[in-house]
Amino acid sequence: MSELAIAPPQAPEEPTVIADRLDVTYRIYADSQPKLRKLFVGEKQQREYREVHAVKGLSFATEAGEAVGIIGHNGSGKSTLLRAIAGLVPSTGGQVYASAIPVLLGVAAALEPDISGRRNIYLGGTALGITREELDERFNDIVEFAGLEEFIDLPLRAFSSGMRSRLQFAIATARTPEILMVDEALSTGDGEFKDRSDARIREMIGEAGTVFLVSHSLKSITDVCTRALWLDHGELIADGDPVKVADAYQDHVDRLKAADRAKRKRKKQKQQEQQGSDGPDSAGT
Amino acid sequence: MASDRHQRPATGLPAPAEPALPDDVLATYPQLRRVGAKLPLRDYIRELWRRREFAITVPLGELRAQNQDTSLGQLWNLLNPLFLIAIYYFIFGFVLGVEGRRGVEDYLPFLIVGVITFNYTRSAMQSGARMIVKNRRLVQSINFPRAILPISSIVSETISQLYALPVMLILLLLTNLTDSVVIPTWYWLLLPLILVIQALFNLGLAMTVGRFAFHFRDVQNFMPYALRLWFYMSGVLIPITEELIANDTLRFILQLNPAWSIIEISRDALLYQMAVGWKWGLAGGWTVLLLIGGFLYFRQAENEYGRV
Repeated sequence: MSELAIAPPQAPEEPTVIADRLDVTYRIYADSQPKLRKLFVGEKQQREYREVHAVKGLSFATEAGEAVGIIGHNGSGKSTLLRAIAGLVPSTGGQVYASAIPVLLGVAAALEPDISGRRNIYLGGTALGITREELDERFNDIVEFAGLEEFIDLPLRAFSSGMRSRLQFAIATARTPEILMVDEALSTGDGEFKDRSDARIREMIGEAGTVFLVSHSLKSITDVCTRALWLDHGELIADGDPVKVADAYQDHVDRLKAADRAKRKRKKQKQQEQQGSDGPDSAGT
Repeated sequence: MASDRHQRPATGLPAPAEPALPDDVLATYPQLRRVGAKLPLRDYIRELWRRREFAITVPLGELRAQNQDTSLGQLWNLLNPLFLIAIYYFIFGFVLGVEGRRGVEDYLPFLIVGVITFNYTRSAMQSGARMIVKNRRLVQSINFPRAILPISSIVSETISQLYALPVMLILLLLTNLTDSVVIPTWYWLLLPLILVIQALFNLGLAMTVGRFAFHFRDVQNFMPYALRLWFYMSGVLIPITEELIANDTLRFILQLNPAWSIIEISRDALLYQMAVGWKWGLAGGWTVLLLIGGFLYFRQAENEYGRV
């Protein structure tokens, strides 16, 4: 708790991902407002979007064999950071370098609810760039890993959300990606599957892959990760040992909760006082 | 709106160490690539080819899913043009009396080929305009060459057209029951070639409209009117001939229209047993131009499509 000094900068040895002052700003349009209106109305119209500065000049480097947990409050920029590293969301400043195309565990978007689990494996797999022959080869592994042997010919919409996320995880890791990014997906599986996916992630780390894991569950971060990043409003607050960072984050959350409770208490007191003084006040005016 | 300043939470941990990066990262670490860098054209096309399964599986799945819900399902894709043909025949052929003028001795077959051919390009343009917005979640989750999206929407429309074309041929033969004369000839074998040309033309169109509609969302609202105007200007309902359009300049401009040349080469092959060189040249030229131009234009914004 005493060392507040800035750690000396270190040159990465064998980096897999480097973020160099990465900055992401995006616009949220209030509505699907017609932009062509600009042509007719001119420039001096009122602003119809909100700019969100989601990631503010982040720099870090990861080495092969690291599992990096990312923690932070809702809207702290965790998911945007993952998507920007994967090149899915354009960055507005800085650079990202990677040793392979990062695979975001997001095959869910490619899956079709109305077709069978079997065909969805091919659909999701080919979306990730895995060939049909390769999928034929790994098909049984995928199904077995997801634990869906009896259900694989049912349409996906008949699957529970846990079954779906198991299938997703199995497809995304079918061909071990060098860089895998997992966004909150593990929390949906049951305990037994969580162990299996954790084991899979450790295996990947062992094969010198790099894993990024965004989760609100500090336990899954401290269980699997070798390092943790703490984001707060798009800024990097801490970067280091997952247990230490998670503890510091937990302290921070506890402090916020306590402050919030105190604030609500004060507000309540104020209201009560106001109610008490209501009569004389109105009489006075 | 300036984002409100937040206090950095106290951590009790050392401030995160910034990595000491060399001036030229890529030279120091040869294994790294810049994320978001444009793939060289050759690699891009190779990535597209590797995902060909995906480009085909998505529309197949969609079509199948469509089928499951309604009993008439896919049939509606055929019924819509049929109703349109019936209405246009009644209004233009019967009420306004286009039939029998020079160039349209047989109005019904003329109309059938025009409507079915134009319909393919129309639906390709519509789905092209929708595809980026519709697949936003996919774009934000998976790295793939974005040109897969227009390709798969054209595959989907082409499959629908493959159902429509035999129906069109049967309809054409049925018109012999009226006083029309439609004879199947060797020229009908040009139909697959015309389909390929039109598919590539539609792909170029979908890529162009796709990016444009991504930048300007309201393009989708204009689309029905633009398509209607294009429909009337493409000689679907009336022939673009000297008899009907006397002004030389206007006729010339209308004939430059790529949709017109594609409809014309279809009519020539199916109804008039001929293939006119300059019309084919026009259709082919437009296709090459739009396909290359549309691809380059679409790819230029490759990394932008994930923007929220």
